[in-house]
Order: sequence, then C-alpha cells, then structure tokens
Amino acid sequence: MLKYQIQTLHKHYLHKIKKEKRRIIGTQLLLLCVFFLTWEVLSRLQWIDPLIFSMPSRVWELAIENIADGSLLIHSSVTLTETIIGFTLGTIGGTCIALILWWSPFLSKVLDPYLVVLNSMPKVALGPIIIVAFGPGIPSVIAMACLLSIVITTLVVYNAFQQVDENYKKVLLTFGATKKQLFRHAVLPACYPTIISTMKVNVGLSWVGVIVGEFLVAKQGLGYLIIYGFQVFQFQQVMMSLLVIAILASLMYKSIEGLEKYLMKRKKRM
Amino acid sequence: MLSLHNVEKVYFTEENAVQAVTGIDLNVSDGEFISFIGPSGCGKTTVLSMIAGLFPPTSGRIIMRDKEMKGYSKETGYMLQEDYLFPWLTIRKNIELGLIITGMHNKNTINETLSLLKQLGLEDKADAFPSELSGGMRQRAALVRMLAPHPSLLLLDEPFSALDYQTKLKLEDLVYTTLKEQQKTAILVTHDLSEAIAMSDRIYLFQSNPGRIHNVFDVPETFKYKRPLEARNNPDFHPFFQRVWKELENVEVPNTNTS
Repeated sequence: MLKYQIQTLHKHYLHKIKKEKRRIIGTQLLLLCVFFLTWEVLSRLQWIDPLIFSMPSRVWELAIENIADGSLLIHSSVTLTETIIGFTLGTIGGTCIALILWWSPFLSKVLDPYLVVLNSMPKVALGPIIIVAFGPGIPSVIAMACLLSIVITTLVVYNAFQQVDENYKKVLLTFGATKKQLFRHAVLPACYPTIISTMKVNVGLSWVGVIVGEFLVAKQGLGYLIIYGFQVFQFQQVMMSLLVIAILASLMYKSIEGLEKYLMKRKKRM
Repeated sequence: MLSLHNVEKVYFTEENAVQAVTGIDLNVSDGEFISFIGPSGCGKTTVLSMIAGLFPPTSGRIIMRDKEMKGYSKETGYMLQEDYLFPWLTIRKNIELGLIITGMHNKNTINETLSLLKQLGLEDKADAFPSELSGGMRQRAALVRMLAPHPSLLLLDEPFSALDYQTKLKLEDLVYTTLKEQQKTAILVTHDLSEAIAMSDRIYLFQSNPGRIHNVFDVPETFKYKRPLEARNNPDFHPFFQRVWKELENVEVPNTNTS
C-alpha cells in the first residue's frame, strides 16, 4: 500500500518536472517568435528603417537564394574551418605554454610581466602587424583567432596547474615519481575541468578573432559578407550572416558541452 | 634496517631560518613498529618526510639497509593523513598508481594488489570511485595503494586522524595485523597517545623549538605484541599511559613561539 503510494507520488513528481520543462521550452520558442514577428511588423510598418534593419522575410529569402547557389555554404565553411583551427591552436598552444611555465618556475617568473602585458593588450590592435606577418589571407585570420584565445588559455590553465593540491603530488612523490609522471598522473587530470571550461570561453574568443580577421583581410567568409554587405548597403546580407554566426557559434559551444558530458559519463561508467 | 645519525633540518624563508629538527638519532630494526609523538610543530612529520626521501636533511645521515639514503628509496611507503585517492580514478586505478610510478606495473603485481584489496574487504569496490566510499574504506584503499609496490618500511603520517573513533579503532587493528602478517617495519606519526601505545613497540617523544627527541619509551612486554584493541584492554595499558602522559605534559607546557 505504502509502496504503491510512493510510486504514484514519484510519477506525479516526474510529471511535474516534465511539465515545467515543456513550459520553459514553450516560452523560449514564444520569445523567439515574438522577436522575429515584431521585427517583421515594425519593419513593414516603417517604424524602423527597413533599408537598415531589413526584415526576417527578406533575410530568409536571401538565405534560401544563397543556399541554393551554394555561396552561403562556402562562406560558412571557410569561416567555420578558420574558427575551429584557431580555436584548436589557441587551446592546445595555450595549454602547452602553461605546461612549459609549470615545468620551469624560472621561466614562469621571467615571463610573468610579458604575459600580463599580452593579456591586457587588446589583441585586435595587433591586426595590421598580423596581416603584414602572415599575408592578407586565411593564415592571418587564423592567427588572429589563435592569438585571442592563446594568452588567456595560458594564464588560466597555468594557474590551475599551480592550484593542484600538493598532497596529490605528494602521494606520487612518495613512490619516487618524476616530474613528467607528476604532470601526467596528477596535475593534468586534476585540471581537465578547467581546461574544458577554458575551451568554452575560447569558442567565443575564436569567433571574435575570425570575424575581426575577416573584416580586415578576407575575400571569403561570414565576416567578409558582413563588411561587404555593410559597404554596399545590403543589410539583409549583414543580418543573415549574423544569424548564421549565432547558430554556428552556439552549435560549437554545445558540442564542447557535449564533449564535457561525454567525458563525465565515461568517467562514471569505467 | 634504518638509522638516523644526528639529523638536522633547517627551513629557510625570506625572513629567517627555522630549525625544524636537530640532533635526531634513532635506530629501527626489522619488523619493529615505532611511534613519534609530541606537540604540534615538533618536527615529527619533517623527520618522516626525510626518511621518505621527500627532501634531504640539512645535515646528518640517514642510513637505510647499510646504504646512505639519497632521495626516494623503493623500501619506503608513505600514508598520508587523508587518503588522497585521486577522485578521477576508480579504486582499481588508484591502487595501481604506485605500481605504474615505480615501474612495477605487470599482471603479477596487479593481481597481487587486487587480492590484497579483497583481503581488506574492498573487493566489490574496485570499480567504484573514491567519492562513493566511506572514510574508512578510502583509507583502506590508500593502505593497499601504499603496500602495492612492496615497501618494507612503512611511514604512517597520522593516517587515522581524519576518521571517526569507531572506524579508527577498527582500522588500527586492520593495519596492525596486515603489517605484522607481511612482516613490515613501520613508523607512525600521531598526536594520539593511546593510539601510539596500542600500536607500537617503542615510542619516541619529541619536544619542540627546535624539534628533537625528548625521551624514548619501550612499550611493556605484556601487551606489546597484542593487537591494538586487546592492548587497550590490558591492565598495564593505563599505568603506562599515565607515565607517558606526564612526560608529554612536561614537554607541552612552556611553549614560547619563535617562528
């Protein structure tokens, strides 16, 4: 009797959770619809300048057109590739530099002020120098994306390396561990959560780097579409590119989140 | 098997140099169980760390099996105050860690380690994560991890202090019998006098400022070879406890801080 009661109560509880979830998603979709609808209506009523703000229906038309002729796919894939390469280089490079700093306390003390300067410096300001160094093309764009994320990755990950509980290292040292073993078995695994969260930040930073890079030099890519659309006063193209960027960047963020969840699950299952 | 000759350790900071321990002389023979007790800051753990090879003494010599110790020796195993099992590894991976680090990771040693785990009643926890275990279980797993690479001298740095009383008593018995079975030599650092008396054969009482050995007590023969729980119930336990306690009080009283 009691057991039966508990089961019904549990069912009620699950039902409540499900209901709440549906309400949240419903409201989220509603907000999205309201946003586009308001945009469309305001633009049609000329309350906002349709020449500047365009309207969803026109953006949609343009998107269909560009998908059909394949140009949107090309531009998107160029930008996405640049972002992923810049992101990967920034994350891995930053982690490697953090490792070197951790390995050599002398070097880390020497480089400390330089890292502070590099970190506080607006990296975008280095744009012209990057273009001169890497040439006006994709390498410059990637360099920009990488530069934006590499410094902060270095600082955050190095900090995490240093914060690792001394006692985990002590456990290994009492077995006569070498520095390499300390890093591989204690320091690095202890910092995986930090590295993952740095990756999440880096997704955003790499997109900034790529778009700015494309503003400056590109002949292709979503950043190029934005700046070109702006110059020829084709604002539905700007809007379309913005929407595509928003979608791609979110997808990338979500996949990092997925990776995180996968790693956590695998850890639990082992 | 182990002897310390006039061992001294000085810590240097930017403000000053602190003499942590000085003039430590002691001998440990095979199979003995030794305890270090004393007020906090008396350098018990410092001496233990030097024996473990975590850092060298500033002066003096540590001789292990007729050889002067330089850094880590395969003879020693160390157990910390808390288990410090790696939370991202399963118990199985955790206890294999010592084997991996010492380069002894092979089928034989893994199986041996797992059977030791079984012996300590953690067989079904091999694939669990440390967070799923109770404090006592975790400390037992840490014991297995320490014993895995076959050290002959075990250094126990207050391994029971983070446990509740009941678990602690049980674990004392378990550690004691496991070590005696495997004929290990052990040095226990503790601030719990009755634990030291119940477990060990000989007790070194330390005093602080600077840390040095104040007195050495031999545990009475009547309960020296008994398991800790039995030893605590021996009629000779309390008189001996009182005797050491008085000395401990003497050592602890006037403590003018110099650091």
